[in-house]
Amino acid sequence: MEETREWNWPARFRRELVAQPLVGVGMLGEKDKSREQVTDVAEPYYLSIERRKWLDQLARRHPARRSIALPAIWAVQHDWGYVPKAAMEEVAEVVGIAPAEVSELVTFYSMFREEPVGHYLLCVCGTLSCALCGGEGLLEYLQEKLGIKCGETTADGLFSIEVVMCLGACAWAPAMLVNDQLHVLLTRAKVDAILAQCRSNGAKRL
Amino acid sequence: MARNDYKPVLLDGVIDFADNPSPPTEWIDAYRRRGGYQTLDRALKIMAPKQVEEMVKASGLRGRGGAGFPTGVKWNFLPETSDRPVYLCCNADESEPGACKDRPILEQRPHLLIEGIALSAYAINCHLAFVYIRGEYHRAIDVMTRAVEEGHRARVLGPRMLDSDFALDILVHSGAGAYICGEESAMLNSIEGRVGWPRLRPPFPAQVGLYGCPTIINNVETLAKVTGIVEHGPAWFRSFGTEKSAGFKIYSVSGCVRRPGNYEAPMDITLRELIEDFAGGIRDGRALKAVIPGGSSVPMLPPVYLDALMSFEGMEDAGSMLGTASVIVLDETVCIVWAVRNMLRFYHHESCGQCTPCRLGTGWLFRILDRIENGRGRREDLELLEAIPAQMVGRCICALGDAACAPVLSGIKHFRREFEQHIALGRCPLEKPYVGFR
Repeated sequence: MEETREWNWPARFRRELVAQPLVGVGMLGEKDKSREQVTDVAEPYYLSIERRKWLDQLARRHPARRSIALPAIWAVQHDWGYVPKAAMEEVAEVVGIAPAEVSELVTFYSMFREEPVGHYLLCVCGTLSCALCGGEGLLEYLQEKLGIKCGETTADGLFSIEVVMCLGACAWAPAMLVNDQLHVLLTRAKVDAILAQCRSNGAKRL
Repeated sequence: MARNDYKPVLLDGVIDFADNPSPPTEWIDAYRRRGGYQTLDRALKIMAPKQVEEMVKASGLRGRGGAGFPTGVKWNFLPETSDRPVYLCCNADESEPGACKDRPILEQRPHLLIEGIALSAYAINCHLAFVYIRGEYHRAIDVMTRAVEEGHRARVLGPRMLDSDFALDILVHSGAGAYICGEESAMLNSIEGRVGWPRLRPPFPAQVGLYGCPTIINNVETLAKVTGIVEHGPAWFRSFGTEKSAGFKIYSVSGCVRRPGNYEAPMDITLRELIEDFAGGIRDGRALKAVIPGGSSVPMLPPVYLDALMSFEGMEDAGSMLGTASVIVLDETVCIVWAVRNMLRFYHHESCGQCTPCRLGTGWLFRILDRIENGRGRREDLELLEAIPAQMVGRCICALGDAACAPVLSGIKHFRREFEQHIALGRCPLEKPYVGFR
């Protein structure tokens, strides 16, 4: 993130005035006491001090602190590769919700992982437009080439394969995500080059 | 207006992925050199919010996210007086199979979208807007976040933006792989930091939406069009398309065509022009078997409807829907049972599990289609495939259950013989050359 920017909002736009708690709308209107929370609630482990500062900054821009729940889980997954159980408790404390609620989010959203995966997660698109352009063959080719099945990790811990539902690259099928890099219009030669590139980079983060 | 006179506005100069896997982004300097943010500047200085709203209403702009609801009318649903703030959400959770039209706007034209968001926010008196981008669009999230920062630094956003009395902040939110969060109320729950379950309506988001406040939710393409409408006026926008579907639209064409891609065209284009003129026709010189005109959630059409207009009413007359205008083309070699099975696997995976008919129905439909395709179909399966949707359509909180039934019902309606063949033969009769990977 860039420099800390504290704005001078005109009084009528100030968040404290804008985010009025609602009465009588059930769960939507609950009063958000956790907004007062400070950064050092728990021993920082999964969420570093920098991350917590960034999250607090983000929380100040939102009407309710709870909105930082997903960014907090993203931060853990980005730094650790997955979301361990202990991290959920830490996220819960930082966000100000129950650990069970964090667990609910992690299990609901399919991009969050509770188990570690290989350094390169190959997400192959399995939906119709890609399947019409060789998507199923691409998956088979990868499984054959790496000697693992979908959902498994290679013995050296480098690669994992996963089938995902639509990458939004339908017009450039077949497509595959390698960590956060999108690869489109794949051919056998392109896949070979991508895998070779990953192998030569080794376990370095992309 | 003749087709040749039309110059793409949103996709103007956008480089397709085919040539370049990471096409360049138009950052703020390039955008301003092209006259960007002048419309916003003018609107903030000389126009009243009501005037902007009237312009959008007069333009006849309809939502580009799938439902096609008139944008100006939607804005009008906001309460006249309210002590609560108004929020604007830009729905960039583009996950419909077949749809990839928002990606070029998010990745290559971020400031066009931000200007559209700012104009819309001004019209509805909103000071905090959200852009909810699906988690798989890593680059789009990076680009939009950076573009918003740029906007703040150039003071086209923030307090007293462009030296006016107006203030706006935009927050970029990342989803995490849930198709259901493209449903507007599920998206609100997701932004609030909750599980993406759709909400029961009423109350509609325009009354009780994000954080319990009045909220307007518009698609990326809809908001990006607001800029052009305010710049050139509603009459200009109305000069394209048809009476009921004014303006132009980005059509994503994918599947068995020679040149798949995003094509922007006036909305009085026919399905045939789109497939043959723009996308280069069916690949390998094959014949057309079926077209899914609006993403996997709409009924598929046989080739007799090729001359139907790709407008909201044209597709409705043909017995389908325009949806997101994501055309998936199936040629004569494609097995319809296989294609429908593929789409149902998607819906089964993406059903959020809140309502029983959808949670159980999508899985049941998928298992039946799976066994038919793999040669274990039973005689009573066809009846089941028609009976289960009857218990799903209209019985859930959101439209995902209905959407899952569309491919099944339309597949059986137009290609019943193929289903029967699968069951009678005990195997798939087609060869599927498209499965292989070169």
